[in-house]
Amino acid sequence: MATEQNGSIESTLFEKRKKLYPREVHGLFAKLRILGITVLLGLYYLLPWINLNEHQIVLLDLPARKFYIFHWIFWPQDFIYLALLLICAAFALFLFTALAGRLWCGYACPQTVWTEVFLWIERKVEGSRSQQMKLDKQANSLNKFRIKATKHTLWVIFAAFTGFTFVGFFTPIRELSTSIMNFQLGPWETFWLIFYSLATYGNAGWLREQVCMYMCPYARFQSAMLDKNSLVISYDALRGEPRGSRKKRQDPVAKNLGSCVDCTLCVQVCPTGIDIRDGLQYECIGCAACIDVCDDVMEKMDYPSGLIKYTTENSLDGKPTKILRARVIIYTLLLISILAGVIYSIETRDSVALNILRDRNALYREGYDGTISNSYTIKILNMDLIEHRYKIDVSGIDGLESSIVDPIYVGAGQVLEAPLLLSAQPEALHNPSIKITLSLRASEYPSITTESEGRFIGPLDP
Amino acid sequence: MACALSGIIFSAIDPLLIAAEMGFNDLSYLAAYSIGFFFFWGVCAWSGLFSIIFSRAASNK
Repeated sequence: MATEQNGSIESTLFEKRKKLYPREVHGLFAKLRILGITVLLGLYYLLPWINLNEHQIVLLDLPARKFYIFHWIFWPQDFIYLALLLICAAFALFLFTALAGRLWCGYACPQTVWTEVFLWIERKVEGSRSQQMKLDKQANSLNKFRIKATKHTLWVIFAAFTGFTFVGFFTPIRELSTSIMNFQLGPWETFWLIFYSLATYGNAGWLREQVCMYMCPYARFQSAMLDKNSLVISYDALRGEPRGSRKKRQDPVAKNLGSCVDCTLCVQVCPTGIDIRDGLQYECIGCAACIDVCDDVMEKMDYPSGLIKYTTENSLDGKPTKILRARVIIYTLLLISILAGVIYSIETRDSVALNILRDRNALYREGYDGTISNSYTIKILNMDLIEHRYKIDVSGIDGLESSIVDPIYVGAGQVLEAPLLLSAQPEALHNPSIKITLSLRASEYPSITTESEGRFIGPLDP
Repeated sequence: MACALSGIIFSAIDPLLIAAEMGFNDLSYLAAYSIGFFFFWGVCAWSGLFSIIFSRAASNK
């Protein structure tokens, strides 16, 4: 915003907000949005309560540095998958934006989803748009206080449950519930519960469209991903203008009017308060509420629908639209390839890891019978969802004896650290440092196998 | 952004090791991850703030 002051233009970073009262809307896109909200919020609130193999189906167990996601366990060494999934998310955003603009913002962004719930609560408590406006204009009274207090109480309860669920993705939610009921919640769990609850309450209850307009970076750069063949929500100015009110039975041509009846309902339903008739604006989150309401008006006026619609710039200019263009095909191929590669790689990754570390205190020990021994520490990481019995074979030196007693039991998702003593006869040591190989396999599942290499140190002059 | 940075960096480096190097030996994992997350958040916020300051300085010239 720019204001003129003492003859100079001064830029201010923030414009004072005018409260918006988005009108309730019904229609195809509203139904799609409600469907999206139901599925996404359903997943968010229900997933932590579902268990699989004695674990929460989605649990980001930070203290154990293990992420349980469906039937997979991710360890810190699997961070490449996180990086690849982030790349997939970026390509998905590029693809859907190139195809149909801000689909993410309009239907799936947490800000949109939670704001819709908060708006729904507000409508249930305060009534319709006009009733809300009337209430806000009223002088303070006990009744106004009661209505506002009810709304904020419901908002706070919903936000607190959202915060609780969020923490439940990091701390097992049943344990979390017990801790809360017994007032034994840890300090950081308490912090995150309050922080996330306040963030939800503040963002969805108070800030709403300001988050999209001032805080979200995507709003600013999404236009760079659009082209003349991207589907965007547009007002057909050729058909709509000149706009003006008229009676239903009046012939607009006789009155020199276009199809727009200038009812301003498209502005009233807009969650960011813009007028789509002014053209595509960065504030538009692509929720398509204006399409629904305008179609409704067109139907009532017996005009064809689609005065505001998903269309492309080319289509509006009367040029042919090409949906399947090079960038869409490239994004799709890249997305499918990376995603398929990630899933294949996750499904076929080793479910066990073996590390061998030499004891650094002594190079070797010589026994009373001349036997040369080396000591090590082995770490077996069972990344599977079930316990396994492992057998370890050591090779590399003839007659090498191992102190390991098979089988070794390692629980699901556990790490076992054990000492290992390897002994060899001096005649078998043809070199001061010999490569040895530890082969590990699960007794019941011969396909689960891994190897690790180490060195066996002997006397310099064997 | 801070989430992605925390996820990638802390899966490669144990945040408790960083904390121990800095002399904080009795931190829990949740504390270390939380502090790390807000550190990255702060870094992103600073970079945003500097962008505003520099863009204003440039436009005032």
